[in-house]
Amino acid sequence: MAANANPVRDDQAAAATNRQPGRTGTRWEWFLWPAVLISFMLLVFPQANFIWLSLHADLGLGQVSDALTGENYLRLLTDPFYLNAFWLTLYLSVATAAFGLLVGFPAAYALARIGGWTASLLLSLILTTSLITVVVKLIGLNIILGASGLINQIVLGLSLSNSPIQMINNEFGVFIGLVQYTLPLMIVLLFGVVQTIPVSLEEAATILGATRAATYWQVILPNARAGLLSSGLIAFNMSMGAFTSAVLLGGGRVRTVPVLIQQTIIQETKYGEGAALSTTLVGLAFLINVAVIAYLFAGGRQRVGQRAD
Amino acid sequence: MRTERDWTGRAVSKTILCAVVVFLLAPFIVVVGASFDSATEYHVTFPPRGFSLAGYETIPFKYALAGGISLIVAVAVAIVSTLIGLCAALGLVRGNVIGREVFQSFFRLPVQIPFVVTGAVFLQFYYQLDAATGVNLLNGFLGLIVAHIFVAVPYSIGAIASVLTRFNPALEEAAQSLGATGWATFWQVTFPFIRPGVMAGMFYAFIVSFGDIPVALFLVSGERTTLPVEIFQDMQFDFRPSILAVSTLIAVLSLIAIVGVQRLLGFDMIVPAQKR
Amino acid sequence: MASVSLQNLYKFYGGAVVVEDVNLMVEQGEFVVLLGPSGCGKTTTLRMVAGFVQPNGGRILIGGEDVTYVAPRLRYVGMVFQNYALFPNMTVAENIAFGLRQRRVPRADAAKRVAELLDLIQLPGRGDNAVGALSGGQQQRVALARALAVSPRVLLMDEPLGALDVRLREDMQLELTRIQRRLGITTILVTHDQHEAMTLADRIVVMSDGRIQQIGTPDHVYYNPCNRFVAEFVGRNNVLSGRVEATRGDEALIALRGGTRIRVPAKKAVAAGEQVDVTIRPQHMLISDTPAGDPDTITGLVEEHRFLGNVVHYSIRLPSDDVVLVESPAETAPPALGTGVSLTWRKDHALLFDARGQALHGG
Repeated sequence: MAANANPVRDDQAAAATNRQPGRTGTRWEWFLWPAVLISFMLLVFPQANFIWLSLHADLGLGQVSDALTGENYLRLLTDPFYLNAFWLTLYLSVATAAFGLLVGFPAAYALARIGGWTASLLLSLILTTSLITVVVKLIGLNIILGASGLINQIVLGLSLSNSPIQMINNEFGVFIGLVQYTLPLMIVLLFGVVQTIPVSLEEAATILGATRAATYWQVILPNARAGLLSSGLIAFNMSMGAFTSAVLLGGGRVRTVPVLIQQTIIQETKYGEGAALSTTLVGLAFLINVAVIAYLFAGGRQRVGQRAD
Repeated sequence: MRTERDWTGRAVSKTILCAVVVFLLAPFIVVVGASFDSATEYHVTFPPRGFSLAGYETIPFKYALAGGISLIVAVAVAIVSTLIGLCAALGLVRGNVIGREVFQSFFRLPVQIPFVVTGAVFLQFYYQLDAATGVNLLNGFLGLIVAHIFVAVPYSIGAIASVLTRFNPALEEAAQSLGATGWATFWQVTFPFIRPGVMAGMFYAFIVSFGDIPVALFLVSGERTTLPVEIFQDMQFDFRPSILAVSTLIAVLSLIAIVGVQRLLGFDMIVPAQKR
Repeated sequence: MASVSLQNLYKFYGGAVVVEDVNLMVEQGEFVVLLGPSGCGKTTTLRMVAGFVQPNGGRILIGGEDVTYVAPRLRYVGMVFQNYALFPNMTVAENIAFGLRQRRVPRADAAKRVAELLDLIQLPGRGDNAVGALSGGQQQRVALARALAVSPRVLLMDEPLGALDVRLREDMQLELTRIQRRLGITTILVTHDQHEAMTLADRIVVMSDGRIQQIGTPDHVYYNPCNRFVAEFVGRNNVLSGRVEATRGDEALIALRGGTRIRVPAKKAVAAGEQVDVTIRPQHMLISDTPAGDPDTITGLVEEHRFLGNVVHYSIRLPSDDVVLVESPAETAPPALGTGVSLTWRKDHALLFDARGQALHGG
């Protein structure tokens, strides 16, 4: 790699190598391999081991049988206990994603149109809330939503109810926790989406006689569709896998699948079952992702005439 | 040029924005406020009924210990995963790679897997590893660091790749046509440009590692565990006011760190790039 | 079609005055162009007419009706934006029909109207195309069709041709003129390109620093600029500085920098000793053999000449070190570089401006 003394020859040599496909930057590919190797080892071996584990029955105390069996998966798909858990996880995740879009998009829109340093400041503030360890948030939520917490103090104080409203240690509490967890990132992503919609589009719609609502439904939302769905998917994925919120705000009673995974593996040491739970969770989330993305592409194809792309 | 009219639609959006900001900040404000509460009961009330630093004075040593552990682990993770991320980003963005999208998806995989699952996966893996080769990564920092690296690398790659793609390779060609060696070009021309991305990558890796609970819960237990896990467990089983104090300290320190990083790197570095 | 009347318009942003005391009356069916450099307030003025910007003072009347506080969507004006602002999620036909849809026009009627417009802009049958599949020029025409679909009483255009390359731009200028004449629609267009202004406008409004400098037909503004800014902004011009030595009748004897004296018409009073500027268009200067010393001649050396196809441009360096641009028809044999030449002009082609830039030639 030493430079030749003659810069002109270097140029010609460089030009010559440029013309050979793949010659320039050969060095750069080499960098890829160590990263791939390490990532591969960290990904494939543990995952393979895990999936293999899921295909064995638990014998108690962390032991698994020698024979391959699908009974763990069978149990997951038939036992109402597990089906409930999956259903719970699923609808909490969908609710979180939907609520996040409902609330996050207008907020992101307002931010994008405010623009300037105010928007940057608020955006950083919002993002910061997600970068601080999640336990801190959950403690705060506990305090606010608890039986003697802030909200209940107001409710009881104003006599809006005779007894405290149950907002933690139940699904609602977990839902709030999930929203707290996913909303900051969603707003940041949706902010980017709104920025791809120039103000001139809205002005064009307005000058053509569209009311605010018409502009929103006919111009803004359709153009944000892809971004909305992908942000929603991200929130969905995050919620499906969320553990800490479910535990701290669910009081151990809200048994979403992540919570069950921890219980099954750590407390009950049923490694086979735990593994099966995990792979099913990931698989389910993956399938839903694929379905939504496929819908997005199909919808896009049909929507607007002949696309140039 | 911005439009001046404040249609009601704008007013509604702005109201929602305010509500969102309040919603997201409220827990922190409450925690900070409650940490100064003079009440000695075991459940927390807000607004605080009196001012006292009792929460701060009674912080047990184990939190400091756990904090140190978290810090060391996070720093190690940040450094290593950034190195790996740098290699991967350079290879992906610059290299003439067949099936680049495949590699990109491959590197994004760890993010798709919930942390709980990653924790369980690595726990089992370490058991097998121990059984098969005698290498024991269980219940130790090294095991945790490795698992965290697995999770953090995609973030590093994302941050670095996004800066790298914006870097004009013509600058490197110019340097080389002026006689610079490959390494010299890299360090004097390329790296200064991508350094913000590298630092952002380290920052994300650090945050991911420091703030993680599920993975650490699976891999490190007992006396020596990370700070978030320590708090998590105390929240469930053994609540005391000093938890609020520690949480406030974490929040404040994180805030300072984040603001500092933003000053250094500029705002768009903070927006995560790996989702693209 | 409606007239547009701007009365005493003012606009401030922060501490800066962006539009100051703008008064303009656009007649029905007229094509008026707001011309000026970036930041002169022309776009802000246009957006005030559209309703996107609220004036801090003054009134806007469309068709005699005061619309100063009326929302944009109720003003019945059409607008073509600089970046076209076509809706990416709709086809060409859907874009054009958008305004009709807002007004609940029945689908069949709307379809007919869309077809009419596609013919007008010479893109028949392209209604089902995605807007992304069209070229820049085509998109621009669709944007125009969309604005015209609802038969607005006024058409506003914000630098609509800016993104097109030169050849296309010229074609589009002719198109715009054709369509505007055919529809007879009152049009206000904003541009910084003075060629465009000259091509399109019935009247040009030259703006600078938020104020109107001059309003007039293209040839009036070109040949009778009321101040130095207009003289230099509209078309190329040479500016020679000097001092008044004497006046006699409606002529002034000007001593230019470097010593040459020339006589220049002066319709307005000017005192001896005043600093003045003289402008002479490049194409009004004649390179001649008249020997130096003849009154109303300046001499210089040929520094450069450039052959441009239809004309030749000369850069002549004067003794005062100023460089003067001369444009000659291409048939004349060019003098060699470095030769001395004399420049003359028709007396009334030299325009006089006082120290503040105001016209002294009675334009």
